[in-house]
Amino acid sequence: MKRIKCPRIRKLSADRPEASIQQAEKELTKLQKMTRQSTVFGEEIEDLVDQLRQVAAPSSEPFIFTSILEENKKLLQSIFKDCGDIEFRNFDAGGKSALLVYLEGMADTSNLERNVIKPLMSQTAPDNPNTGNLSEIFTTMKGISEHILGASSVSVLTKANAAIDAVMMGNALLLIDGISEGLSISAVKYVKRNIGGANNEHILRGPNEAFNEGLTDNIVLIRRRSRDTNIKVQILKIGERTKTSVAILYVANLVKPGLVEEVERRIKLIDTDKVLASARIEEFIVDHPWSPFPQVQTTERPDKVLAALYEGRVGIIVDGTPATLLVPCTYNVLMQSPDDYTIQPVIASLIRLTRNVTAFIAIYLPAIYVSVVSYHPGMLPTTMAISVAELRARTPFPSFLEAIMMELLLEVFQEAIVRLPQRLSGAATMVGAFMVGTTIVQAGLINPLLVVVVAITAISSYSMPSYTFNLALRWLRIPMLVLASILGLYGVIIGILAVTIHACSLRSFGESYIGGLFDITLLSDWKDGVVRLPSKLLKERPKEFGAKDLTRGGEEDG
Amino acid sequence: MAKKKWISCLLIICTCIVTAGCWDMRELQDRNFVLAVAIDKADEVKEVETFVQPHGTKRYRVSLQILKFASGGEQREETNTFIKSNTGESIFEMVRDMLGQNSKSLWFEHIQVIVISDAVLKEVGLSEILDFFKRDAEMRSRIKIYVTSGKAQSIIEFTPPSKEPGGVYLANIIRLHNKNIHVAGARTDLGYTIQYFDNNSNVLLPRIEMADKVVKLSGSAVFKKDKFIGYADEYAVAGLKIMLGTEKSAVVTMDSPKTPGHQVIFELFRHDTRLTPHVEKGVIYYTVDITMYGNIGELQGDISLNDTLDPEYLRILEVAFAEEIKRNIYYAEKVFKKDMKVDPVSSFASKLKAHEPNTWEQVQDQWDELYPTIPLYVSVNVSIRNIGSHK
Repeated sequence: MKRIKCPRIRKLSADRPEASIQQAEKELTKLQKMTRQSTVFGEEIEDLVDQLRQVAAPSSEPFIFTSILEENKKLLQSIFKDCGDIEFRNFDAGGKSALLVYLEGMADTSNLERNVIKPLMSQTAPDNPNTGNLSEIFTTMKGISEHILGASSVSVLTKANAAIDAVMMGNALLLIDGISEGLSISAVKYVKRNIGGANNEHILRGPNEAFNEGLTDNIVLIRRRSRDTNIKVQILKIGERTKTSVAILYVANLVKPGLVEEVERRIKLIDTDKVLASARIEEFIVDHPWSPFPQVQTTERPDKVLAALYEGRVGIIVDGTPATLLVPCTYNVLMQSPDDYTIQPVIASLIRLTRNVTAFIAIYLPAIYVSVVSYHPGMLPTTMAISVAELRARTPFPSFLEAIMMELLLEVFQEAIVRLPQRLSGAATMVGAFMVGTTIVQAGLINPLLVVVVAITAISSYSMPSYTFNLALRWLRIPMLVLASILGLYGVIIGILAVTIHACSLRSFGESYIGGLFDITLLSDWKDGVVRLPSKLLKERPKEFGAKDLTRGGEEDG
Repeated sequence: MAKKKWISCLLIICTCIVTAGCWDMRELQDRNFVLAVAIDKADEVKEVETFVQPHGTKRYRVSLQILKFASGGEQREETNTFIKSNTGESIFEMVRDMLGQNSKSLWFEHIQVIVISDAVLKEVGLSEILDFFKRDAEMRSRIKIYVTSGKAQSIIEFTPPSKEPGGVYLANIIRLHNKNIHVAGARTDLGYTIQYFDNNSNVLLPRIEMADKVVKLSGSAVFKKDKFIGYADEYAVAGLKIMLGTEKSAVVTMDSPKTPGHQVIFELFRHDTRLTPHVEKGVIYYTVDITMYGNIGELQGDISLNDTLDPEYLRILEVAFAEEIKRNIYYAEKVFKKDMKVDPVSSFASKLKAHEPNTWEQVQDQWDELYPTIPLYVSVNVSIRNIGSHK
């Protein structure tokens, strides 16, 4: 056998000199030296910036305005560094140089041209007879805004932060040489969606306008529906970075004392960097974030918000989200649809009753099916028991597994249909219908009765007026199934008790979630609860929400 | 601390679920539905079917009718039940031994009928036979009990032509007792029978017979306490139902007064029946006052002679029907009181107890001897409201 000669093993550094420790140390000291140098450079740059600012600004402000326009411009440019969409427009106004700063695309340029730049530039003649004391006017922003500008909404700003915020909101900032103030000119105009129909809460009769993303538009939608000066709008800015506007709406002489303050307190306590959707606000302000039940009503319908305001509740509109929040929220409120008030009271009452029954079905039906089939077939009438047994004779799985499989399929289909692009979701529906409706049954994996049970359950949960409540029902179904499979009907009853107790102890801004239904002192609320009486008889506001004035009629309203 | 509490709570729940959960779980299709039970005298003891028992004799043959699931559901087979039987003395022991003949456990919650052969009843009391069924938690109170003079097993072997499961078919026959005067079906199920035992009353059970391909319910098996006395025929049962006022509807037939040899039929719609005990100077007697309202249900004679549009003729018919009903009641009285000496379902005794408690206190000990001698006075009033025809 031939011996392979093995080379002697040596140190890596002997082979490759650049890998020696000495070399590495050398490189490291070089790097440390460079780091030190860069910190020195950084300090020098900071000094330079400080010099640029010249005047010591208060710690909360990035800088303060000076009376020299060039300085101001430099300061602003340092703030808006690398913001390519900020426009700086220099022009000459009455012999002084002026600067208009605005966000491109957010400010209405034609409006600015017409009402700001044009009037200012036309002041070139120093001795215009109409404006004799022109130089006097040009000394203050107030004078300019009062005498020269044609814009409708302006405000004088002395603080740099406010000026920056104004620019970021889409207003234009006017600076003039010699004046150490800025003038914010409201000319906001950006791309937005038109007011459209309510997509998620479509109703048959009654108004169909829905909120869109703009806060001001949304408030307008409510204002337009009521000429009541008691409707108050309080705007807060939430989010460390996004500074999203959040409006709290209420009717001053109706709302329960303390409720608005509580809502305001909770919203102010929100500590987050961004608010992109109202759901985020919702999660921060609810009492029990772990509960599956929605504790804040969401709607995209202005009429619903207005109706809620006049019941003494509080609305929260978040800029950028059509879904508006209403608090307090109870089971009763979630079970009502605006359509109930546009159809005959007897029919509406029947529909509401059905809705309450379907809410029960949506949670418990599969659990009852599993427990009856697996534990208590004696509860069924004989002929029914026989036909169920015959249906189940071919399926190999225990009913619990069968039900879980079916629930899983249902969830997958729902998720697929929601997530898929609209054109494909039709295909998903078809596949679902074929698979579940026929093939699975024919293959003997799942018995047709269970398909019926699960289909009824799904349809029941879809009939809820509130989507978030529908989700809660869907969620609750699974623990109920598990309980039923372990303890039978006994488990289902335990589950019913647990859900009821939880719902009773749940509180949304002080109001019991479901307890109002069983409270005899709230008897007058029952007129518009599970049933709805004709409007003539609904003379009182719900006691539950503690409105200051309980009668809807005018006399005591003052 | 609070966290630890939560975790320990969760652990306890999990242990409970794992150790105790699901013990009772058995899928619907994994149970053998027993739909009917037949109890016969053990005729021939087959070697394989039975078991060696340390005590007692092979007294009964218990047969169970078990449901066979139709596969697929579309093509239902000829018979959808099968029979398993066993012999022995304890019914419970036999049933448990029968598990050796089955792939799925026997399940009694949907038993529909118990058919008992009178051959057994002549030797053993009814309560002894029913004891297992009243004691076991799976049995329902609404199980129907029938008595047959033939073999009980052959009755539960009967395949209904309608392809219903046999037990369901048999149980549903008695639900029509309201319209069938020949069957005394009210309060004859397991629950009521046990109640009668507890009250020390006499029991009356429907009689079921089978010949060739016909199964028929008619007449009654009469018990004194739980001891089988004999059968009452349809006419006696009809009389009894009218006497006690338990009938909802009835058909009364008689020869037409004007055209003998042809029948006129009265259909009862509504009645007011009062069976009342009276005590006068130490003498007990009963009266039954009946007012009946009804219709001419059928008329077979010559219509021109039997002119029901004639009020005079209707009066004649009413009197004749009343006589016929009286005759029926007296026949029932003769059968039960004179021949069998049984107070059916102890109705006379309970009436006396309710109306004349003091007298009842005195006579209850010798009631059995006294009862056959107590007279019954019947008065019947028939009113024909509709004649079922027009001119």
